[in-house]
Amino acid sequence: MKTGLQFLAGNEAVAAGAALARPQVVAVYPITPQTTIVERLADWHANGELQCEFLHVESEHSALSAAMGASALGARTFTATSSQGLLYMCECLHYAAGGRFPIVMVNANRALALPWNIYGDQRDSLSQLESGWIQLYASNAQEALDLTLQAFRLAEDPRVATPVMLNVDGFALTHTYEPVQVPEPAQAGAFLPAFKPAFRMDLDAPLSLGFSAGPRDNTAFKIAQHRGCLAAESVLDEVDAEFARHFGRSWGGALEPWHVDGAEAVVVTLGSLSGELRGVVDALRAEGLKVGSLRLRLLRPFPAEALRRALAGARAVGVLEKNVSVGFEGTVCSQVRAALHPLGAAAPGVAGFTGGLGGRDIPAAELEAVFLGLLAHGGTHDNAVGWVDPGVRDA
Amino acid sequence: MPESRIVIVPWQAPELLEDYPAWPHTPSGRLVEGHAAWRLQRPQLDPSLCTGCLQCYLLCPDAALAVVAGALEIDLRLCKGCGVCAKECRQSAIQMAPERS
Repeated sequence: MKTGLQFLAGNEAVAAGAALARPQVVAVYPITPQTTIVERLADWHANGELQCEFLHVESEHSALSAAMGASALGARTFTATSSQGLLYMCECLHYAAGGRFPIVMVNANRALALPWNIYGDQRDSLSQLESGWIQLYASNAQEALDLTLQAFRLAEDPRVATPVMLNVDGFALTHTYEPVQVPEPAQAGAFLPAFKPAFRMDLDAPLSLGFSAGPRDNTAFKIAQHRGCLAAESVLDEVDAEFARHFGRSWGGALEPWHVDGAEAVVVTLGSLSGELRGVVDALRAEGLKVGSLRLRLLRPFPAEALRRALAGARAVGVLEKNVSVGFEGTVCSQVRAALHPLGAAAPGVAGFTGGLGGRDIPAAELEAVFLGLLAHGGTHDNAVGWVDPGVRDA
Repeated sequence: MPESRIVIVPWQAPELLEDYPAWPHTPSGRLVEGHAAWRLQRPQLDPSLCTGCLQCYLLCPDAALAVVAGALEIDLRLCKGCGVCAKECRQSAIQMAPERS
């Protein structure tokens, strides 16, 4: 692995981050657009740079099952998937979170079938918000590398003890080349020391793993799991501050605001779309329009209070996601709406926008139109979906 | 044969959340729930056929089989009657008999 400033695709940056975390077990099954993460890690395993058990499993269900077994033995464990593969893991997702196994997984966001599509959108991970995993969303290749390292610190923190799913937009991020600073292994090791498991299977001290908890006991475990996940929001702040001390780069915590202070209209989004959105905000600000954008980096735990504080001064909020909860509205839109509800009559109107499905690009002019609509009409108080550049006219 | 009976610690539901295990994993031997009441058939051991290979001990899902005082023993408080031991015993030393006839 070459360190220092490199020209890398998002997946190569993720693979570098994963290798620098020194996982003891990697259990993966390839799937577009995640495959090049697996290929890069396999190369380094083959040439001896990555010393780990590299498990070529027969499916994603097996990948995460194997990851749970390895994590139960106290091994730092990494996996990666996408789309249909994530859905095939679904049973194990809940299992791993309930078992409090601090596995780190990178999910390359991709559309879900049917109709068949291999390109990027966010329906796969957003359909798994209830799985109990911490969900992070990166916006560029450097952040993807840095968050891969941070994700292990977050998952393995005994106050959290929850698996982390780091999401990177399929193709827009996974296959786009950017300049990326790849840390030295010693530097990464200083930031992320060896995994000290809070519990582990041991021949000298055997555990009953995943015992049953009936009606009397079940809620107690779910309360503890819920609190562990909630703790991740402030632990992410700590981890990022620690990261800044080691690497001189800081990404902040749950939210990344862009000209939100004093903004009348704010568009909330997640993932790599936020880069284009910031450009549009800058252009509209130059024309004197009071607009801003807010990127959600953390979807679970959901940073409701921080979101309320950030958006309390806005008049209209748009939520733009590459996703729709068919039969209702955008999933992220529902979450933002619920988070703002305690503001009562002072809450900004919220309008939901869905675009970029199945890898469709969202032109900057369409984002401008979203802002201008919010400024002109305010947010809405119904659950209508605003289809952004759907590529077809509705007669 | 080495002694292998695990010590069963009956599960006592704590009053306080902080007294629960932080995750659903505990030191082995903690019995959260036994399933003896499910049993429709009971394993019967013929000690004269048992060679002490301990396949049954390894495969029993409820740790109902153990070696005590040098001999295989079946703890019917733990056995749910699944019959895995009888199926897997290469000496046919375990037979399943109906609980009620």
